[in-house]
Amino acid sequence: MPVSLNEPDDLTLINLERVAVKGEKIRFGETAIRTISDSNKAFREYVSARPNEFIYGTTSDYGPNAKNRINDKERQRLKKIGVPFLGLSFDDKNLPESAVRSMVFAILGLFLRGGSAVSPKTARTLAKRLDGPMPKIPAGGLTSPGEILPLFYLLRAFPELVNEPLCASSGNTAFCSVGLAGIDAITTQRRLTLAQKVFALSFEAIQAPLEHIDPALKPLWNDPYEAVAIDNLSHCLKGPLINRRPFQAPVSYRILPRILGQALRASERLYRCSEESLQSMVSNPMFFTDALGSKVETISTGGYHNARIPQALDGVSMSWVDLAELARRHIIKLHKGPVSKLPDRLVRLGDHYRAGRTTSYLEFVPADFVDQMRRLSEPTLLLAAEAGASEQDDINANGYIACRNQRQVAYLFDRIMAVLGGVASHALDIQDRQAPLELANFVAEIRKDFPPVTKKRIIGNSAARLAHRMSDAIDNGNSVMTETIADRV
Amino acid sequence: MTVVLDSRKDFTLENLRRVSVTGESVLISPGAKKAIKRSRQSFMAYLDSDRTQFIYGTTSEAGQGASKRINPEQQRQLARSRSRVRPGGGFGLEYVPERVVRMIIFARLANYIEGNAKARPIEAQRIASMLDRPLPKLPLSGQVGAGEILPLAHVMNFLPEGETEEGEWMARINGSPVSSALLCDVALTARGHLSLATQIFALSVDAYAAPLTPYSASLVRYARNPHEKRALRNLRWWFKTSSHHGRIAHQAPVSWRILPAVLGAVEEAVAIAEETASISLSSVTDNPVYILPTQSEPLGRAISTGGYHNAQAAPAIDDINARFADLCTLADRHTMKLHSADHLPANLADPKGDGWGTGLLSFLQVGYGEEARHAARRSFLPPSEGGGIAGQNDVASPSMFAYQKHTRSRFCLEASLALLASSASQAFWVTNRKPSARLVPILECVRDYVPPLTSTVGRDMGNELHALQQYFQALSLSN
Repeated sequence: MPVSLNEPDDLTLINLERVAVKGEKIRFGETAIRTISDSNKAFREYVSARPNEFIYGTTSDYGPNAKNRINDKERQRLKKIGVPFLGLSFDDKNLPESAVRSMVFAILGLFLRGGSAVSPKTARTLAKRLDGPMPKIPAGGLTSPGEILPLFYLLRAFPELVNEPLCASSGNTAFCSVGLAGIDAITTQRRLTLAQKVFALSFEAIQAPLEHIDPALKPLWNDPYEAVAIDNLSHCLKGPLINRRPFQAPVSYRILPRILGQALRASERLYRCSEESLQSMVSNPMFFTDALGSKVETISTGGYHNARIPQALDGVSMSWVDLAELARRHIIKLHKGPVSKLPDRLVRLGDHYRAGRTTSYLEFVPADFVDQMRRLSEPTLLLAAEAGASEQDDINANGYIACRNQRQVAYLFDRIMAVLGGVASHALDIQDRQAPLELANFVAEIRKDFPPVTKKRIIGNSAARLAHRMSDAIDNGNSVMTETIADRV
Repeated sequence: MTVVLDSRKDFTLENLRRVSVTGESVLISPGAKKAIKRSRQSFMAYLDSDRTQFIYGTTSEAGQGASKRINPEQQRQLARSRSRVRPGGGFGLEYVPERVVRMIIFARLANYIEGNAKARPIEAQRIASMLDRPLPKLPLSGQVGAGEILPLAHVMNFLPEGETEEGEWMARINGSPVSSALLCDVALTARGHLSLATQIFALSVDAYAAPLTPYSASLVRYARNPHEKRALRNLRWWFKTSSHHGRIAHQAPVSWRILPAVLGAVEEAVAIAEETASISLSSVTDNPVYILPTQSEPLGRAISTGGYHNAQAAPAIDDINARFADLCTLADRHTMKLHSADHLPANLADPKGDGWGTGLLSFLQVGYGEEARHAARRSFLPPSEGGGIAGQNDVASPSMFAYQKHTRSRFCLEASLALLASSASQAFWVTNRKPSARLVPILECVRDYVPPLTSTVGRDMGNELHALQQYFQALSLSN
């Protein structure tokens, strides 16, 4: 069944993922086609009745030439000439197919409410494009005022967007950042689910007292996200209360529910922000019928600039860094016998670390990744540089930068989760301890790639395999690793 | 007036404002005193029921010595020996504003008011009385450590003298009231800065003669996000009686059209700061914290927690700092464009003057913007284990670090807005125009500090602009 779009409420992240990641088709329903058709008709009447009104790209030229007015004849002439650029950006890699599909989905979201005033034919044709392959868009050099640089590639591949006889906008909107952020919002939830399981495993490995995640803390801390973190950790660690440390665990364990709570807050914010943005795509110009706005009007806007998405993504990136910093502490503490009260360096009783049957020295590895993460997670500010040789286009949209950086940070975070997961699993094994029941399947998954170290081997390869599988599970949502943690209280 | 504290519900931003800004005192209600007393009695019964159980800092040593248990006599001796909090060790060039020190003292009481601090009522009263005495000076630097012991040592060293009993001394210096206070101060003042920024950018819209269509009511109706709606409404308010005539016939540069989007993101950052500040202020964050008796646990219990680490404050403050930097960038762009627009006199120079105009203002924006962007760097968990010598205190709280940057960030925003406001004022002057009616008062204020410039002779622009920045600061803080 293709995804059917009728109302703005159909523009959910779940539907975005179905179309962008799972490759499902999309079709406009009757209600949507009626809205689109009515808007297109109303816009044609509007332009005809107001030939002298400034309507960007309709009665004016584009970009630096926006102040130059054009008439109907000139508009048709310029349309025949077409878009002047076939593609300007470049990079060693192209964006993944799912990213481009998410962008098309976001543009269809703009069409759905009628603000772009495209014809139903154009809307349907673009929707059908998702039945086939997407154009290649380089993964670099995509930042400009608005999101015109990636748009050039879509305009080239989908000429119906350019050939539309008369419309307000064929995609001059924040489609790139909204589409990409929507996918990121979903993967962030899964990544956080996986992270909570890994941290719960670490908590178990060091036998941290359960009072650090006592449900009685929920009303005292008073924060709904910290409450969820406490519930999730408690669920993962359900089981007999045996062999806990007789005194408090290091700070890095005790503050876990608070740092996870903040990550859950950031995740929820990104999800809400992405979905709201998808449901209220604004273009420049934007056409409002009286059903859509406060009156019938076509207005120039800054709708191509979404300022909330970079902020939400930056918040998520920051949480990955902070959680990675905690994980690094855990990895070190687990290897430090006097602190963990576990065998020093996680060497089995009677063995020697030189024999290589330990994860010792693996604790050095995350530092490199965390350092990279910190650099990539600085906030995505408005670029101070003048954007181009145009008085008009003076501020870059920074959503793509935030998306790209968050993704890089997130994949680095997976590596750290792989190391902590492997080390914690090894810590249980050397003491012949079982994982808590709720984490048993999860630990089994970890051990497929990163079994406890019982003989000398290249442990880095194990960690790399596990990190890749974690990333894959997160991207595709088809693994026990990212299964939702149940039993919310 | 006095703020009466009866329960955690009284730890509101409004009460905090009364205590910190208006300077009101605090009174612990009779009901709260009874609750605190009951809690103390049950805690002591809990302690006496088994003095070998682990209660951090009561039956064990503190910090690195957490694993060492102490006997009952040592427990009493430890409590007696800590009746005075040792002075803090941090030092630096700048200090936390006095109003924030009052906020810390106020926030400190949240642990006590319902008995979770396991202390006697006298302890809560001693803390409350600090608001009526000379306040300690708290350096901004040197306060980033595990928990908030470093800054709290500076503050609680000023606690009135008095003996302490078991469980009480740790409650004085544990928990996260400092983060709560810092976040609350940012939340209370950022709203004022946002209002000011909205007003000055509205002035800039008129000064550039930019079309009002990017701020149409249609966008308010269309938007799904409340912060974007609110930003648009607030911006539109200034143009209530404005005319669309006399504005440029084509769209203004991007930096004017994206104002609603950028202000919407600031609105969201401020709203999150307000929300998390409210949560933090009324939360109980002690370690160990005393869980009050229930039917199943008639003596209650004391548990070790990570409450002393407020994970919400630094990200929320960082977001505000980042958005302030963005506003500086927009102000920079507007200032430059006002001085170089085709439809305005070059450099906004008065044709009857010496011809220099106010182009200098655009130069000045660069430094404040760069400084603001520098102050917007993230306050991650510090990589250093610092006090984690024996493995215990291995993660520091970065809240004070975020706040330290915020003090710079808000100064830069005030400075940047002063430069933009002066440029806008000059633009009206040289074109003999007036802004929308609601913007006339702020324009007049701007001109009180920085009059329109015809000649640079006899003018000290630095002093004038500084005075305007200070006026903007006062305006933001009083909002």
